[in-house]
Amino acid sequence: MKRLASTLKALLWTIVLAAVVLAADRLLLGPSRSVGWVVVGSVRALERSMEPVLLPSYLPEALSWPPARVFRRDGRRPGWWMEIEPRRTPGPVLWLGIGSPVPDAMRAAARCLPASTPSGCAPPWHQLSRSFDGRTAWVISTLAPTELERVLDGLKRR
Amino acid sequence: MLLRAVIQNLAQGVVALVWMAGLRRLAAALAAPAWSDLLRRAVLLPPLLLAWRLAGLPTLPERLSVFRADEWAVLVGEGGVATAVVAAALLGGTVLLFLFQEVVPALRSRMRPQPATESADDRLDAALARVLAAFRAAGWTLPRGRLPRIFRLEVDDRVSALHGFAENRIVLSRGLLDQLDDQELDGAVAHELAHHARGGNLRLFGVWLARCLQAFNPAVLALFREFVEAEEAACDAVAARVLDRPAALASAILKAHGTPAPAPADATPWRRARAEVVRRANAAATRDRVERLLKPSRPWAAPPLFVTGASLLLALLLWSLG
Repeated sequence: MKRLASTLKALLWTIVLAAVVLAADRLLLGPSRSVGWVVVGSVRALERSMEPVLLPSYLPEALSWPPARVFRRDGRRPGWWMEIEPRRTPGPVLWLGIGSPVPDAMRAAARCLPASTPSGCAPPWHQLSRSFDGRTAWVISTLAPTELERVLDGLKRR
Repeated sequence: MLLRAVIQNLAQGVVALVWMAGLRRLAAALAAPAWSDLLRRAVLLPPLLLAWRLAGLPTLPERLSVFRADEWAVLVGEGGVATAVVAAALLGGTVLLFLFQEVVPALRSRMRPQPATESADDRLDAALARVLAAFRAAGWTLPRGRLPRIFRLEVDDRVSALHGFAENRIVLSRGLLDQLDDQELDGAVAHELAHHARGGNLRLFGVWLARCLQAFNPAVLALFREFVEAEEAACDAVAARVLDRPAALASAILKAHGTPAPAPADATPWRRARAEVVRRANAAATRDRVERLLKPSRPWAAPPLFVTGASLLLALLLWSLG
């Protein structure tokens, strides 16, 4: 009986501790990545609500403009991401943006961000990043690395 | 990736430390060997869980994790210079403690120009034979392989230790041997044989390696030190139980550690202060060991199901931290 009581106490204590850590994590960090990202109608709408937004001055022929989807997150950790789709499928895809954790919609591309998973960027994805005003902007794509570098070099503040 | 691993390890270390502290209050009557086993697992689990994650084995999705290490890594990564300085001071300070309190003394003792000689001793051989018979009579199964041999260490200091990895040797110094009567000697030998029975230096080295991998983690530092003390208490408990003479073992401990040598008269103030701190810490540890032996209120055998269950709960808790 005493052993059973000890076992139950240990179980209860483990649950209480897990609940305390969970509460502290959610209280200090806010909601999970899936919450907070909203789809914005267009790049222009994003530019109106958020600064600075980086736009590519160069895109390979294979990609279409404007972006198929644009995401925005406000609050303590603001960010934005845009998905640039191929002109013809199948074709390369490009994600461009700032802020992590990233929207769930990025799926495979999200693995390229250093803190996301231990396995990192899985082929055929590549990622490059550069600091703009103290924040890291990322380009993640199935484009060839040389093309991706040209896209990154051509990013300009609007 | 590295930052994430460090943050996850810090979280797991802190949670394991708090969990152990809580469990100590809730299940205070747990036997010393069980505490030592739980503490050993608390040190081993964080690197094992990192290996688990790196191997691509199942983990909780980030949004279900009790602790979202990914997001904390992003937050710390974006924290700027102040965060980096505070983190470097905390983690670097812990690494320095590890280097200067554990690695440097170990290297120094290895680099001694001439180690003390070890000689056979009839009195020690007889004590080992008595203690081995007592272990067998108590139904204790010693690890397979060669039984440890016993030697007299030709120094005047009071030393009692288990040496070696593959082949264990029990060594007692001449200085200590001269102080102990036969019952106390049996107690000291039984304590060292208990170390051998509980896995010896090889197992301790394994735990120390896991601790090295987490040298930056102050919580693991505390867990490891607690484990070392718990392991001594566990071996005391085994020896006292096997010989059924806890007072003789307590007396041997007092003779071995009771009055440590003071710092040399010509020592610098820094060395004298350090020696005094070490002397007081050792005195407190010795007092705890002796009190535990003389007040044997704790049960001898830890319920195996409880220890296994508690270990699984701890593993599950740390796994849920991402």
